[in-house]
Amino acid sequence: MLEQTLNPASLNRSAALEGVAPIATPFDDLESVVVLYEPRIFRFLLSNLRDRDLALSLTQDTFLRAWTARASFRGDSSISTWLMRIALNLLRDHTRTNRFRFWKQAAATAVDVSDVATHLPQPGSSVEARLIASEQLALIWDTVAALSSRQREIFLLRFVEGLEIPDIATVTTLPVSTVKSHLYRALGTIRTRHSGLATREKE
Amino acid sequence: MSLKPNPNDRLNTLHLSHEQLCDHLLSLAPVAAPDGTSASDTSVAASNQPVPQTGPYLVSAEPNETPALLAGLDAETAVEDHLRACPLCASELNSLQAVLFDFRAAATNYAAAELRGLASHPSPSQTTQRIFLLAAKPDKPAAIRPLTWAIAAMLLVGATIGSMVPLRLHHLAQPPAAAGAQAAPTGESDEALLEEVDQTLSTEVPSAMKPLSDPLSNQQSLASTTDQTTGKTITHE
Repeated sequence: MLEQTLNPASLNRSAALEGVAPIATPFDDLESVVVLYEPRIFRFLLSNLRDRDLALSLTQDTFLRAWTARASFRGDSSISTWLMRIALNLLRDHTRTNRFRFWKQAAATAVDVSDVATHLPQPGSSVEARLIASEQLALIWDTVAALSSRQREIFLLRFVEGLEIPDIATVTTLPVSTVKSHLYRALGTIRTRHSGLATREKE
Repeated sequence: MSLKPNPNDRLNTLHLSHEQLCDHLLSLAPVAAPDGTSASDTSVAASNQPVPQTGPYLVSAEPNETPALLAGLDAETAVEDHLRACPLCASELNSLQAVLFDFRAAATNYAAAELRGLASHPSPSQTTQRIFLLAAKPDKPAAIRPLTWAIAAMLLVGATIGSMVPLRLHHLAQPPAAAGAQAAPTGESDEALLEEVDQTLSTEVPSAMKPLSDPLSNQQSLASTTDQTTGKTITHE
């Protein structure tokens, strides 16, 4: 009975009984979708929120929303872009409702940049080079956190998720020119701080 | 393409503008995700979707767009030529690119490790089962939802009308009530004032003030005073 209730095929069958024609979507094989896209959605949310538990919770919410709204997936965009759009909307909802909680303490599962720095790819590099790389990563990490939420979203979609600019425009529902403008500004901020650090290192 | 002079450069040589550097950086940025899935991954997507056979810059190429594309390619070539000739711009671009690559790699590796290590992270099959359960369970009966909204709307309308009606009645009733309220105290106060005056007039004059109340008797009293020491009455002629 439980198996029947939880089987997506049976859900489609019940839809057919109600007179609604079941539409085949890529989400019928939800487990494959979760296996393939969960790391990416989690990574995007974790880079944005910097809170593990919250990122995991919103990742699961993303797949729940995708499953419940799967009938509206027409295939105009890729699954990845569609999921990323849902994740971004959830992220914005969360940010909006928590923006004014000044008294909110730092989450116990907040990400520390030193933990992230241990995952830097440095095969065969010297200790000094590792230190410099860690310092640069910390600088970029802090700079990205200080960007406006819109700039941060777009920057991460491009430089962590590797999305093309038209795909970012689809995910964020912004014009391509606006996406580019946000990227220029974000890169301008990063460039300024990075060049400042480079100058200090040379001195 | 027009290169711009760098204000920090003593020789005032031309360098890439910020937009040119960003455009070049964006064209170099990796498209494929580090986990192997492409940004435009359609491996699980509906198979009836057409797969673009051209590169990212030629997807929307139309015959009338060719000059623009060629101009874009010319600009890109000019930027690359400049980067080959200008070590300053090339150094900055390489440095920025390296930092961004490190940031991406670290964020990706860290997220993957966290996802594996999180105790609360369910397996994909558990996640799927949980989603099916949540999706199958109606959060609220569908019939109750419109009823709730209808009741809420009625309450809102009732509250609005209820708050406006007394104000309206009060506003309408206020002039006559105010006029009566003003007239009644005036009449009462007049009568009270008259009574008070009557009482004052009818009040017996205190003994000390009696000489003032009857000036004629006062004259007589002035004519005959009593010597208090002897107790004899002295009459002045």
